[in-house]
Amino acid sequence: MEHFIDRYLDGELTEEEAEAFLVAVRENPDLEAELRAYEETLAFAADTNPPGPSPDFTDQVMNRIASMNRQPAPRLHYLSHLRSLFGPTRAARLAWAAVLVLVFGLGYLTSRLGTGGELGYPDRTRGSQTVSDAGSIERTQAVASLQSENFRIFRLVYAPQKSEVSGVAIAGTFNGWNPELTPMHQEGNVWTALLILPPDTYEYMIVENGDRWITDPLALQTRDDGFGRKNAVLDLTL
Amino acid sequence: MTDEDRAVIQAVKSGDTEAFRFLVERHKGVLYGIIFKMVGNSQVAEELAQDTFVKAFEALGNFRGEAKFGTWLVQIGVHAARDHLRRKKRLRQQRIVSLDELRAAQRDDLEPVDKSPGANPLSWLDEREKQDLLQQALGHLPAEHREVIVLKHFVGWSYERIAELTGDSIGTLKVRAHRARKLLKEQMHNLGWQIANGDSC
Repeated sequence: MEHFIDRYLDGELTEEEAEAFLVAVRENPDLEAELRAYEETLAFAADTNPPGPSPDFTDQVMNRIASMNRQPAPRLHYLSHLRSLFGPTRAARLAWAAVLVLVFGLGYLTSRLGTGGELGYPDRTRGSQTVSDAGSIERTQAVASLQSENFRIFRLVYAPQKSEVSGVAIAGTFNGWNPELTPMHQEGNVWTALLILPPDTYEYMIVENGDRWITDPLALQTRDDGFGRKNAVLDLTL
Repeated sequence: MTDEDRAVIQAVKSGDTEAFRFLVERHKGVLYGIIFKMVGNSQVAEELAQDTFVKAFEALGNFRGEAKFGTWLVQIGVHAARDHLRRKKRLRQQRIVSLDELRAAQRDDLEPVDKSPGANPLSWLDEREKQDLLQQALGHLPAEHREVIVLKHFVGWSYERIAELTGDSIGTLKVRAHRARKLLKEQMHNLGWQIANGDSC
């Protein structure tokens, strides 16, 4: 019967076998006690949780990751490295260089066509971006939807009206008004950032090219900043 | 993978390192619990769980989202725990115990469990006592037995999946699981635990 107990505990008995086994168990008090002892031991062990990681566990992990990112890249002996990569002879290296020029050239042309550059047509339907026929509004604020117990997740999407924007960031009460801490990431014509914050109400501004502070024009709420401008208000308390 | 995990992973991959904090917060409890049950030491479990998150962060670029993030994370954690147990076994064989392990062992020295019988163990064991009892019982199992019982019964892996991890045959794992369950039951009994309705186990 031990064999059947093992197969039962492993969930490997067919429905018919399990039924027959349980009938046999009910008729045999010793077997019943044995099976219950196994089941309750495993249930006890599975349900008993250790005290949990330390309170600063998450901070420690994030500090380790941050220090990893700050470490300077190892210095390379570029010439010897390139030689080892592309071949020992000058002719082999020139051939590799020609291939690379061709690949990057094709990549550049493809990207120009795909992003509505002068060689192609404007892409007006990318992602959740909304583009009016007049092209006057090229940004939308989206999508505060996902929630968890301790965090709210908010994706901010921004499409600059000017084309000469090289970087966009967010500065607000959640990062000490330091735009360097929350850069937005370019996805085609739009810039996005995912904010993961504890439930609270925050104020923020969008920062273009590091020095152009813009009130989010589609913010549901704004508040005077005391210097003649308005901060966008992000309410994540719901 | 949940929508939340997917969105956060995408953000991390796009360069938003701070978004990884959400994944740590969400998965640290389960991961720590599994590693703790495998290694039986809170400080070591803490270190290995941290290592696991750091490794996951480093490898996130290779994570394609075919499995759940939590499953993938547990897999990394189980490998880390196995590596630790293997190193520990080797050290023991060489009769070398590191200073860190000595410190950890001292910290984890457990109070003896009250073995007086009761009608229902859940009524006379508080959470800390239950943790201690389980830690002691699991601690008496050889590492390989502890591993198979944790992965099979607490994490819910199939024998096929465990076999992929350990390189053992499924038959070997089943025999080991049988022995592990028996040992755990005996150890719990020896430590004074009784099944719920007061029957002897």
